[in-house]
Amino acid sequence: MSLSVIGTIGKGTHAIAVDLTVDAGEVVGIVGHNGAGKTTLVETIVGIVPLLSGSLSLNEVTWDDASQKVWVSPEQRRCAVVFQDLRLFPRMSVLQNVMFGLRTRGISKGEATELAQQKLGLVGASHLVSRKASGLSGGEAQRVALARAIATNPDVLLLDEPLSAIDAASREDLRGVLSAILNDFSGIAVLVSHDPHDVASLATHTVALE
Amino acid sequence: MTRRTSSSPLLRALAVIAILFVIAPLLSVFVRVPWTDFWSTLNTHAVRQSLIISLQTSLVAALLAAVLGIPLSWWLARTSSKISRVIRTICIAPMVLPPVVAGIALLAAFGRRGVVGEQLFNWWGISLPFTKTAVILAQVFVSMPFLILAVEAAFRQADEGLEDAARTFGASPARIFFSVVVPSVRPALVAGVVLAWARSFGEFGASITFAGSFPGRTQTLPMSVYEIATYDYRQALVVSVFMMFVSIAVLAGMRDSWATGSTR
Repeated sequence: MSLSVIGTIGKGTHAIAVDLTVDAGEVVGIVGHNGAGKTTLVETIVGIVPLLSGSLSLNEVTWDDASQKVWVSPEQRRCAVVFQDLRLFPRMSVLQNVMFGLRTRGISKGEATELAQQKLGLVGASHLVSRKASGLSGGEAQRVALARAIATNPDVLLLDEPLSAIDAASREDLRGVLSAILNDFSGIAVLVSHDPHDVASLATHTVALE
Repeated sequence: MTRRTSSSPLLRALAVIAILFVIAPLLSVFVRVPWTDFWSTLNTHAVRQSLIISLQTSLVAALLAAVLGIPLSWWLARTSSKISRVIRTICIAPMVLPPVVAGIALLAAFGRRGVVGEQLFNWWGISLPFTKTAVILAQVFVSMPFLILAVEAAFRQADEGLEDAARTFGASPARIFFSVVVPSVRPALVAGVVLAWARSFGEFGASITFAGSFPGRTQTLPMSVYEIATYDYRQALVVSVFMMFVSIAVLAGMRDSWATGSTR
């Protein structure tokens, strides 16, 4: 399995050249200064923002290529994102948030509940299951967002600053959790971070956006 | 530094006049109502009958306004084409239209000889004017704009980032709408439906023109008050005060969501 993004990305007129190929089992660390397009790259891979030019494909299946008029919608891409601003569904409980992607893909309620609880356990958030997402602290919400993303066992896992909303003390702990998750993850992982330490400890290789 | 405008005696005087002008009629009703025989006056066959019709028609109208108005508000909130702006203006127009004109317009459309009504009658033998259905249609026509205004504003403020997130988790547009968007605008939805209901409950001009005022069939409580006032002013006061209670209760209930302009 391999993800390939070759072309230009951007919102509006400012185009950023990208040449990225990631294989299954790899964790590519995306680095670059503020405004270099790290989040735009994530949004492009997942299908929220279209490529400006070039081609985006997974395993020879093209997801986005304007010149060939190919576009696979986000709901069909089997990606999962930990958004920089987390985007938990505020009116749902923690459990409902983690179950969301499972239920949309037709997994039964019982099975989805079990899987969601298991993933929440993995990120150390079991005690939060029945809490409302809007009432969580930054660190708690970060863990839940991570559980929600890995619950669907995606082909491509995109982590946009997954340790940024958390205080220094639990940061070390969650970095360990994330490291273990990424070690077990058999799909493609893309990690965006401004912190060289995070990238060094979690990514298998690094790509810089200029 | 104090702002001069806030201490201008002229502006203050005008504001006081405005307050008195609104309060005086409302309070006067309370002063004049024959409180001693309030319940017996209210509890007559004619009033009970029109109250039941009012409740039936206004509840159905509010439901219809919601079922039709919520999807329309959603579309209006998520498109910014010239067409959508024109459609918004047209759909909100009944709010400022003279109610009797709304009634005439409904007759022109759904009357026995109306543009649509003639076909309805020729094809299926359906005649809408002067029926309870006509009352409901008139109420939906004048009340839906209130719902659209309240709900569209909330849809516009809804976080599109959450909808994007839901799409990446494989959610269909329908699931996104019902499980992500609707819960986030629920207070505005409730406010919109209650406003539409309140407007329908008080509707008079369009309904009396399009549906007539037939006791036991189309005569709603406002029509009843209008008729009673021609022969028994004291009874009209009693029914009016009852309707004022209902309106104030609605406003008080809305205080936290719509009246303060907040959607949370």
